[in-house]
Amino acid sequence: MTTYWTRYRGVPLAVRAVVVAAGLALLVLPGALHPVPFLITLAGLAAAVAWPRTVGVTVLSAGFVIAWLAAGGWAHSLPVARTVPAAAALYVAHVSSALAAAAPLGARVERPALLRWLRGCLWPVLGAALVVAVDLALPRRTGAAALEVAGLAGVLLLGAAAVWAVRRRVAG
Amino acid sequence: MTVAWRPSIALFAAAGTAGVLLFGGVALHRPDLIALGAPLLVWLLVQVARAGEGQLRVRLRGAAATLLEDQGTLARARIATPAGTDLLTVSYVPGEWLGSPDPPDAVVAARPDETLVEFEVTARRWARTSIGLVQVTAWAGQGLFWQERDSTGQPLKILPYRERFSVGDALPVTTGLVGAHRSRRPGEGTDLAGVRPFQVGDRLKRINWPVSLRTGALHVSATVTDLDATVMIVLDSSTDLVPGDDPARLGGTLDTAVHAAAALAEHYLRAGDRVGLIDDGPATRTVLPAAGRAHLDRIVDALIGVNTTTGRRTAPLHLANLLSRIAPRAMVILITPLLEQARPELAVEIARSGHTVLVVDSLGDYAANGPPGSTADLAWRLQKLQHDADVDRLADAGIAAVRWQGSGALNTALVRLSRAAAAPRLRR
Repeated sequence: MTTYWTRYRGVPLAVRAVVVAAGLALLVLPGALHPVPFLITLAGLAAAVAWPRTVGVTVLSAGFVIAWLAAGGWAHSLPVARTVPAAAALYVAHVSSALAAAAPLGARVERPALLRWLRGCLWPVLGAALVVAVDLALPRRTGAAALEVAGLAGVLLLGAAAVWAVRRRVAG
Repeated sequence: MTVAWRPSIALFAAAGTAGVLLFGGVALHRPDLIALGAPLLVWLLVQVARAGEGQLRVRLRGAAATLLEDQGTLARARIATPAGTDLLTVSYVPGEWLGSPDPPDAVVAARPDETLVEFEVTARRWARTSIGLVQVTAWAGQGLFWQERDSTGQPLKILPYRERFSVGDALPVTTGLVGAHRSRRPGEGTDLAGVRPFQVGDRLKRINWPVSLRTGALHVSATVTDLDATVMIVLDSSTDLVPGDDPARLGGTLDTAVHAAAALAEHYLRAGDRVGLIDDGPATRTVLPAAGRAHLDRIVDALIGVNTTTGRRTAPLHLANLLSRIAPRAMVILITPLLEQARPELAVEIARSGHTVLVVDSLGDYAANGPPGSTADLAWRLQKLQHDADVDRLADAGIAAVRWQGSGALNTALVRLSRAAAAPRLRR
């Protein structure tokens, strides 16, 4: 029996599910819940999932930035354990929304296209997990927040450089 | 300059977000904001550098240029992509009267030289159509840039399925000396009429030597002359009633009529007769009578070009005059659902102009869609009564109207017509 749902394919739905997951992470990660940015983020998320070729992800990002500023105040940076996952979630939301714009709900998506997108999403998530793990594993936090972020960014860059070198060797 | 990439809304979203975060981080001395925007900035820079030059080229072709009804083939989109292309979104719309079991959209990874995307298609009914239309969106920079092209596919012929049709060797009107029908006249031919004593003028190759040796006198094998016939098929394409108002218009009166015409044409052409066609629809088209296998292709070609947007012709057509001009003494097979007052009158007019006419009723089992007692049902019952009355009127005028039922459907009517044609006639 042909139903409304059978017109939809698993992979395009999964891509939108990843957008939803990233959007929910962006809703939660600022910590403090302020109604206005929360609603803006939620509206942006809904638009990004339902109409990925519109400004949905822009509204989602704007709502998140307002929520982030409202949570930390003008002068205080939020901790690394929130910042890095939020950066990864923001990146994944943008990349996945771009793929959702390319993959209509009823489309069949070939495996190479899917793998390319997964690779694009996976390394920032793994990098963020690594950074958060390092941050949590440190015995005590010292120095200014700027120094801390710069050090962790350095770790991240080193990891990315290692991955790049390995990929070049494999490709060669 | 061959660069044709256009920035997508994702590019503006990412650039705007990264810009606001980086500016905010600098202005507010907030390194966390810079950390939030950094991945987006890196992503943008890398992808902008990766987008190459070139143009998107798309070509849509079918695996076959001619199909039979219900036959399947592949619509192949060959796509040459610019450098840096990541993904391709391929949207395919099958041509008219084609169906595709595949989803209309496909997302594929671009290959360096040429990307081939295939869609299955099935021919639903006879038509002259195209394989379809394909629209390709190429994405570069993981969706940050795009360009789009579309391509119309090659023309495609869908031939009607020709039911194997058999009819006895009974054509009421025959002419010529080369066909496959037997005559009653002795003469040069292939069918044996008997053995008779040799007469002056007989060809030596006709001498029947076994009989001559046995009897001691020369005998020859006598034959009857061979005859061929001209059959003109007149197709009424002004009406198309479809059961259940099926949008594919399968099994409708016009569909039945085209199948009947194709089967009749194939049968008589295989028998060596000359066959012609008149498409009596909104626009009249004529295929002059001729014989041979190639002529069958011409007739089928004309049949698949029948105008399916049915309608009434504005200028009157004197069909009887046309028939008398292009095929005098032809046997006329009028294929019509007999739903208009003018059709029975047309059959009578053709018969009066000296042609032998057989009406093939293409109405079939059509029934109105409405429930019993509804306005539609009532209207259809009135129409059916009129149709049946028209069939009776034709019978009174000596014109047989036979319902199309495929093989053997016309046998009885043709035998009766042959007998009537052979009977002595009174001249007034």
